Amino acid sequence: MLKRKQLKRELPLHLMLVPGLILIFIFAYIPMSGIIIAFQQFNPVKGLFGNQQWIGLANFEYVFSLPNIWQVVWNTLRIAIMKIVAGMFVPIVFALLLNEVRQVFFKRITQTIIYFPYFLSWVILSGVLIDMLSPSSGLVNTLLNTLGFESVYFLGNNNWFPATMVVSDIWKNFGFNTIIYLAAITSIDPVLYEAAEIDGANRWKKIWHVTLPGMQTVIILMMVLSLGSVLDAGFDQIFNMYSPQVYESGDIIDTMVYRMGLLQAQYSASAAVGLLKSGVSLLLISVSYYSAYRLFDHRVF
Amino acid sequence: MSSGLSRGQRVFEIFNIVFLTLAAFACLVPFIHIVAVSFSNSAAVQGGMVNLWPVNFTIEPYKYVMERGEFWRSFGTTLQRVAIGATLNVLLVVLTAYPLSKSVRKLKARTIYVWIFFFVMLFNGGLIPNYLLVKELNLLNTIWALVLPGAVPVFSVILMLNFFREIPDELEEAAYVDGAGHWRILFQMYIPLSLPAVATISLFAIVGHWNTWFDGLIYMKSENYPLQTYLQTIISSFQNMESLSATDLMSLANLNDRSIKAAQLILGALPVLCVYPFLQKYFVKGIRLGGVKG
Amino acid sequence: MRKMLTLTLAIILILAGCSSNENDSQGNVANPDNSEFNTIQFGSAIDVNNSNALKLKDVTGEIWEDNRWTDLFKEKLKIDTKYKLMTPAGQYEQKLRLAITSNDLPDIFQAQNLTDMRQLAEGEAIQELGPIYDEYASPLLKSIIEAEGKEVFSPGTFNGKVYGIPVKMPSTNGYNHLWIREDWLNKLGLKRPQTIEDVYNIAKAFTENDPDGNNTNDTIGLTMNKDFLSSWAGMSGLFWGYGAYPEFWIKDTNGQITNGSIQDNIKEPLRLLAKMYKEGLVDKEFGSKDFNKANELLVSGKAGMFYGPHWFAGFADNSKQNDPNAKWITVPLPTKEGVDIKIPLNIATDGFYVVRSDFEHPEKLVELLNLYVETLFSEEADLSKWWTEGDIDFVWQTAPIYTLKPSLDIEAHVNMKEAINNGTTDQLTGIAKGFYESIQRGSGQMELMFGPTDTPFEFVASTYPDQILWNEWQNAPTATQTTAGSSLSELVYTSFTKIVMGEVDVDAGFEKFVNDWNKIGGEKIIQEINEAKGN
Repeated sequence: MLKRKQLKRELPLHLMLVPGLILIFIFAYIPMSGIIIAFQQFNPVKGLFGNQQWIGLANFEYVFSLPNIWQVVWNTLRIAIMKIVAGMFVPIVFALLLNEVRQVFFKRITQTIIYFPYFLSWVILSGVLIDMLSPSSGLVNTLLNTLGFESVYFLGNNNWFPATMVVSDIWKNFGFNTIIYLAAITSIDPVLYEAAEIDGANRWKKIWHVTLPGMQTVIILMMVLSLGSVLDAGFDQIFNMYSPQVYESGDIIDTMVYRMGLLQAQYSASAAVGLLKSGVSLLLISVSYYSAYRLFDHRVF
Repeated sequence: MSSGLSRGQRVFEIFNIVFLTLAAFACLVPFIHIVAVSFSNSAAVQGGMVNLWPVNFTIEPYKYVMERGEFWRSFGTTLQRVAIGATLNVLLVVLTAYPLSKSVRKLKARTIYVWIFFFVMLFNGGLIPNYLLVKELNLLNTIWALVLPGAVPVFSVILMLNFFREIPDELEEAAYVDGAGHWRILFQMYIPLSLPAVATISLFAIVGHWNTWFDGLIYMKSENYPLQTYLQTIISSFQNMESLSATDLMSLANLNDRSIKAAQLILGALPVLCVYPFLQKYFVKGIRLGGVKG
Repeated sequence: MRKMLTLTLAIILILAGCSSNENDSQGNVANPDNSEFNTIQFGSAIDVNNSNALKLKDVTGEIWEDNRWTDLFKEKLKIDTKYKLMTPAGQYEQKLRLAITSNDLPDIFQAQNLTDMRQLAEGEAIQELGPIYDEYASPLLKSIIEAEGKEVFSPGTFNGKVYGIPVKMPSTNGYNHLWIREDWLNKLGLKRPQTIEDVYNIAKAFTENDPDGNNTNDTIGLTMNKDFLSSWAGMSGLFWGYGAYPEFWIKDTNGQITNGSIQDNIKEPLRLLAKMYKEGLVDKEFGSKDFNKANELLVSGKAGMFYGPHWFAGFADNSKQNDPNAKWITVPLPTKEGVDIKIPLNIATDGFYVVRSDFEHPEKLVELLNLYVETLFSEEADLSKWWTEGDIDFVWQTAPIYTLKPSLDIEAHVNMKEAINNGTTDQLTGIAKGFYESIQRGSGQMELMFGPTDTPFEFVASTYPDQILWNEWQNAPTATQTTAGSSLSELVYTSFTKIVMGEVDVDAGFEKFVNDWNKIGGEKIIQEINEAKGN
């Protein structure tokens, strides 16, 4: 009896999920059958389900036998992790600072402007950045020189290149992520602030005791999800800004795969790389998902 | 309005505004540069002489673009795509996120469902099977090829379900006791209470559809390219220069190109830049849950 | 596994409403019993939004599927032109690959990537064309396609069978020229360079002696970019002056094929560049600039010399708008004392035309090409109709298939020069007339490329074909080339960039480079190539 009632109450919930489930089944799960390419010597002429030659793990072995593969994996991890950490921190700070602005007009304008670079593709931005970062005539180095520092060859020096990629990536994308945190802040019940004020809390106390805890779930969520990009250091960005002189520090898995011509006609090896990346992401996210569950009794999603 | 502020607070406010202004300026620089390029004489552009102010001011590039039927046609395709695609996205996100925001107690299979959706974020079959699928479904060269494959943006679903979970359970219980079913609870209570979140995912959906270009290239014929695909083909970064024919290479030295491209970029980005300020009104005030509860 | 795949496929089909479009692809095949017209579906790397194409459409209303060429083919050959695949060059390969995997190929299409073409041939998706070409090709077509030797077929030959008809293009586009600001030379009282030594001295003077007379040290002698070893954007002409041919397959003294990058004589130009880099005569930031970025220096009037292909004339011409004094000339490539200049060239093609294996009339391709070359290159050809429309010299490209005579540009240049010298420019015909007229209309770019004196084509006309060194290996990549080819070329660039930037010593750096190059596959590739060539 009780069970039936429970079922009746659950039913609309299942129904709501039906359209989404059907769509992802068709447009995500069916195409996943293409992952088999990673285990084949794929010849496109024979078609996806044609009589392809199965070669087991040979594609994976090939990928790991590429020259410099470990250097490249290390570059990828280093750049990606720096991007993840800074990419978490900066938007949160900006969301908090924007939230403290009282002038509504200024707040809105700023909010909109920091979102602008997100709309420009790396093809375009790289041209602008190469100018701005030029050691001889760039804006940034002119600024450094007036402050009494030496010029830095940001895009040509292996010590600087990874950091340059991180900073410019943040610069392009922080406005976008800031929006998510702003949405989280605006969802906080104003009653909580009023209560804090009555308790005599100052600005810092309110941020610390009301705003941040209010953002907590979104912050944890974004942290867990961003772990999924630990092998994604940003192909478009690096491809448009690197050059042979910084391969040593800036060459990442995706750019190497591209240059090796895996994308040219070696369908199988690039499928293998994709599968490896997905596997690593799945592993990391699962681990963090369950640690969050165990530690805080909180399901991230 | 500043009467009640202590000195420390005022210093903070000034510092804060200066800092944000600087950051905003840094974000504006490339944009100003592109605007300057789009209004500049092309030889000056090709000589790299344009910084933040137009050199030899001209509006020729804009005239040229505005007169091109191709630009407006692709613009129309994009509008259609955004209208259908973003609506579908938001609807599906809300519908999917609501059940998934329930606890396991209320929806037993929840965890399985969540992982079914989540898995899609990580694994994909690659270009070939997706293309074959769209082809077999007879969707090639239709607006649905651009809309259906990404109809369920899983990232937004997960974000949304987290916002839904912030809404206290008691509210739902109370409504349930009053005789409301899940559908009514979702549309009359949850959505109005989560407007900042809905605005956020709407923005993501609109911007996503506006900016995506690769699927247009793969699924559409060139006369039906959406705007960004059209722009991409004229901007093309020439990633494999060596495979270009001599005739293509020669057109690279073509004079007018860079200012015209800049003008198209600006015209292509303007409409979507206007969407955000419009949605911002949903970000301003928090919602008084207390009031609803009372 | 198989079962599951079949099952998924079945589900897809059910979802598709079983309205399978198999019939569509059948319908593409010419319909021989029905009418006298054959519809042929083409695939070609075409940019629909190309500014010339749009101009033509504005002027005459002609579009890709309906223009004077398609009318001609309809009238003379009863062929209806349709495009199944029509994508700008940058994206064509990708679209073609999707067409390959989904078994949805056009009847006749352009294949630009040799690996794709080999897969198509081995999978029997395209048909052998050798015998058909031999049987149907007109003498004129043969003379054009084979003008630079039968070797032109070998990249498209697999297991001894010819699978493609080359889209022949003028190979002279592969030249690299030295461009100089003549006004700067005059101003500083310098003579035109004849040796590399002269080039160095001029670069030094241009950098240090303020040739633009603005009393600021803001000029540079020679531009340089990160693709400096290439001829299509770089400064390979400087290397050629030493008899060094980087990234090029040559024959050594024993008749064995080897690569130019690993020859000892490359060290000399590298040493020179390293010296110039150190002294600031070339752009210190060349390593992170592509040619567009690097050329900003010459367009803005800050650089006095550059190596580049003839079409860089566009950049040189544009510089006049920023610096009205700018007068650019090209000179015959300066050489090291005692070196005889040789120009290393590929036999240029824009890929191959291939025919889908179940297309029943492969001979139509050859007939189309016969008619095309007859219309454009026979004695009585009317180029004002078939090559240009007014000042849009683009009409030749609007045909669904095309191919060009390799000596086209040279002949036009030579004819025009003669006519100017003899005062008979009113009797000019054909492409030479087109060149002359567009120069008269004020096209500085055309004048800089094809003008009678001090131009790239003056140099080309005096060296082609006698001083050409043809690439010894242009075939589809060998097994090791497929896997290691791009690592090798990358190694060449990283090592040489480091040497030029002075990070490593020339001799030690080069020795290490050659070792690495051989180790990661170079030696093996040389072996494979020589075996394939039967050496």
